[in-house]
Amino acid sequence: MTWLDVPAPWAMRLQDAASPNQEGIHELYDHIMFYLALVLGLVSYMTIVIVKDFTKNKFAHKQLRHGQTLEIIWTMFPALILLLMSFPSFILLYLSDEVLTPALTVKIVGLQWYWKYEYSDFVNKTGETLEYESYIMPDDMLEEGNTRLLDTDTSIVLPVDTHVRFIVTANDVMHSFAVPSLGIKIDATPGRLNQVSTLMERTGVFYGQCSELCGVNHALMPMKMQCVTMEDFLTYLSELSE
Amino acid sequence: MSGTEAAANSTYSFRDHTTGKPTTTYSSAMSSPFDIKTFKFDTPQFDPRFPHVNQTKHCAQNYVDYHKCVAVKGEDFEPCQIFWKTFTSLCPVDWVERWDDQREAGKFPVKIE
Repeated sequence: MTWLDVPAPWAMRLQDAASPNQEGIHELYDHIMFYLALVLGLVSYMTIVIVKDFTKNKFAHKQLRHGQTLEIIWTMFPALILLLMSFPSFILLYLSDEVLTPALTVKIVGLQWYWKYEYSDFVNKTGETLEYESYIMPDDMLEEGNTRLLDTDTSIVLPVDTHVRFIVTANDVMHSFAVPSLGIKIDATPGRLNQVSTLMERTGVFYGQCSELCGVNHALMPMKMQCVTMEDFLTYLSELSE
Repeated sequence: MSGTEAAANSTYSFRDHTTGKPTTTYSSAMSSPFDIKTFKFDTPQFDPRFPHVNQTKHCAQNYVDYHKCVAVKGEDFEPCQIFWKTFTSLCPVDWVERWDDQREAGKFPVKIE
């Protein structure tokens, strides 16, 4: 099975989900699309009928000033549609905000124009927190199969099937941390710590881009996330702590 | 000895955040704290005082609490470690360094003693 985890040429739909949040977003998207199709059909049908009936008919409904029933219908109907869309939307919104029983905290700091990742639950042999920076892979260093403007030199490595809490902040100007496959997008604001969580359900490599205009190299600070098995994650941590 | 130095000792442990007691202790004699057989995750859990997306005060409060705790009970008082674990997991390293400098210069905005 191949997953769509990177932007593809002419891709029209969302990337495949890797977390329950993004699955929820897909479901909401489909749900809202249903009402969209319904409204589109109804409006098109009515437009066609009206145009058909009233063209070349100068005297049609000459005496019609107002219609209370019609007013009630065209007020209530859109209100009902909006209500039907808002409930699943709010449920998803507030569920996505919950950070319950995280197993791991990773700090993400946005800087002009790179990201810094801190694994402060763990320390290296000298007692310092595990941290490193992540820069974009320059075009002339790209290899076959790499994604331009998305690949980085180092990536966030995280274990699969584990609740991860991200603490997102910035050190200079506002940035925004976003990973579409996981349904994450949160502002990185200097002086403030924002919290967001995820649960990755499959291993893979997920990409994201800074989503808040932060200066000339705003487009050149992507984030790359590798979701690996627990064994590989622990190997990575022990290598990092050397 | 500051909290960072405490962790720099050859022995360090992960703590249960509900009880504050050590769950597993690792020493430099052991191969690695990242052995899959013994590895346990340990990170600050949900705190009802800070239920929001904004966790700035969660970090700051635990930094202050740790230093107040240490000022009263001393470095070796085990329950203070829960504050240390929490603020190190939540606060960016740069922030902690800045606050440490401010405390040393006597310019930290919160009274620790």
